[in-house]
Amino acid sequence: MNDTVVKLDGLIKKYDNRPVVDGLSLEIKEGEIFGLLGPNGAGKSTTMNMICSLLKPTAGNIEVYGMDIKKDINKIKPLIGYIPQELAIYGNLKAWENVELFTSLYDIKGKELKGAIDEALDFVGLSEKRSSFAKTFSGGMKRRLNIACALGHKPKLLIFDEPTVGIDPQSRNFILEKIKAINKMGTTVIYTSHYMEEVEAICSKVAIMDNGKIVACGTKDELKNMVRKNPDEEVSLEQVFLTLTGKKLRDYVEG
Amino acid sequence: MNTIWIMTKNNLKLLWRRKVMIIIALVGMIATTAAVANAFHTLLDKADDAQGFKLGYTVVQGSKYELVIDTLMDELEKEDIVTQKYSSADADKLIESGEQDVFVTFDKDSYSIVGSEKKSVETRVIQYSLFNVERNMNAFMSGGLKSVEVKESELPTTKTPDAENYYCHAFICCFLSISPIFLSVIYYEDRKNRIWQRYKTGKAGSVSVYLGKYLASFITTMVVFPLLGTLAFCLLFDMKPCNLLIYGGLLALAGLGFTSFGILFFILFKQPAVSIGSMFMILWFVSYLGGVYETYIYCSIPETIKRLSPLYYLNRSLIELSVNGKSDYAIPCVIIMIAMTVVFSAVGMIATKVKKEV
Ligand SMILES: Nc1ncnc2c1ncn2[C@@H]1O[C@H](COP(=O)(O)OP(=O)(O)OP(=O)(O)O)[C@@H](O)[C@H]1O
Ligand SMILES: [Mg+2]
Repeated sequence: MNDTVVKLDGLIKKYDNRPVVDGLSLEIKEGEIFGLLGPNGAGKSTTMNMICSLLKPTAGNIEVYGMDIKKDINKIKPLIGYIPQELAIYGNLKAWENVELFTSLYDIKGKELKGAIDEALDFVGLSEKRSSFAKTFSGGMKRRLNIACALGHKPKLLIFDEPTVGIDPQSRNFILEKIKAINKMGTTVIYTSHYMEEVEAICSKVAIMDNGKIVACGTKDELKNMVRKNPDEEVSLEQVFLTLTGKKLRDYVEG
Repeated sequence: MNTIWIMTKNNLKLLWRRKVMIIIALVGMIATTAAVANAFHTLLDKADDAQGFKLGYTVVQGSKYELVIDTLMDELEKEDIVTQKYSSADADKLIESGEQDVFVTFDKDSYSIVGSEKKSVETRVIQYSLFNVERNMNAFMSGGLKSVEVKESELPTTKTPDAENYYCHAFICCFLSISPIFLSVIYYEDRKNRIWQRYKTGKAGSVSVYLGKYLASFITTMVVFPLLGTLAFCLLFDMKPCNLLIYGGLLALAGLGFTSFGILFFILFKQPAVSIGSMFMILWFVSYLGGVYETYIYCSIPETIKRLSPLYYLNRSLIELSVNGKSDYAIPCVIIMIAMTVVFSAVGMIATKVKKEV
């Protein structure tokens, strides 16, 4: 049985001859919460966009569930749920209308569609606000709706691109808990972030990315072991990052 | 099908939740029509029939027409034409100064007619009357005599619409052609909120995305202008549309054609302002040739150039159908609108597929 969900092989994306993603190779297995960690501009979103066919790679291969993205894109699309980094919802549509519209893009109709809308809104805790216009929502609620819009078609692979940017700790925890819950139900998750704590809290496997390249990849412990000088030393992912890249992540994030 | 319907439905919600935009468009159309129709009232009303104009004439001594001239003038006076005899006069000057609308000089065996540029219909009335006189006189010479008759119904003129009826038709066509600008709201939101990412990652193809917008725009257009617009015009200005089935059918075809044309601007240009600007420029020209600002009936633009405008065919068919019950322009109009729909929507679908942002 092949349990590889995503396989990237020598993936390259160039803008004006400047490589933004530079020879990336990775494997993501079924059932993982895979964290892609990296500073601003590392190329995380670019990589995610290529996996869900928003961008064409300059070179390299992408396989999703063993299918080549160039050939089988139409079979791959329904398997993926993509939550864009920046909100992609209509302010002038109600919460349920947003979910309806974006779920219908996957040929789901009638009763199944109604059920999917209810489930998705319930999952992100917006059932009570289903008939409110999205423009009246707070930042955190918009983020949650943004997620709900990608859940309706019940994808097997969910790609979260920094879903917690700009929201308060409660909303953030809510979202993180939900991601864990959905993973328990069998969904593979790719989670990109530049917040160490988030990745540390939920991810089973982590890749650290910088300047379009993978600097290190493995389970949290494997990564920590790479920099541990003795077995009892307490290290954080932040320290791992610092040691491996020679740079502080915070410098990027704030700078 | 299901996807297209849900997309159309939600696009319609997005459009109709901006009620202000739709109300402004409708009120704008009515106000413009009222203003323009009023301004051109005199022009069109005078053309309504060729009554009540001024005719001057001279007769040289010994003209063969001397025999009949008094009878002829009496007949013309009965038709509300004011005639005036000059012993000698400069026809061109009289016409130019506006003292007379038409002037006839009767020579020994022939006559000449001078008419002012604006009185072409009236000039034709006189020409036709004199032609009849000539014919009757020839008959008299050869033995059979008939009295001179001037019958307006025989005149080779077609009826012309009154100003209100004309401009009601013209402006419904004009506003229908620019109504895809409603879509700017949706394209603007799609880009601002990067909604296109969802469409591109979704399974529904670009054709569905295109059709979702297309149908929403088309339905909105049809409801606002042909339906509400016509209703308002009939109540306010006594507009007289032709057979409603034909009227609706032609406007629906035009709606399909102009919607597929208008959407192109939003697909091709990223900035809504650029889309609207370029679309307005082209459609202004199309409307101008199509007789929206200046009635096609009195427009001095050559027929061949007017025929470049699809609105010309639409306008002309609808107006002629309304007034005369038939029009030679209806069939070409149908063909042109279908051609526009096919060509422009094909381009639109391909462009939607190729462009990064839907
Ligand atoms: N269309 C584009 N043209 C040129 N350069 C681009 C384009 N899109 C992205 N880039 C560049 O590619 C690099 C990687 O961008 P990307 O959005 O993938 O980073 P990221 O890791 O997601 O960062 P962030 O944490 O800020 O989201 C950046 O330096 C960015 O400036
Ligand atoms: Mg990013």
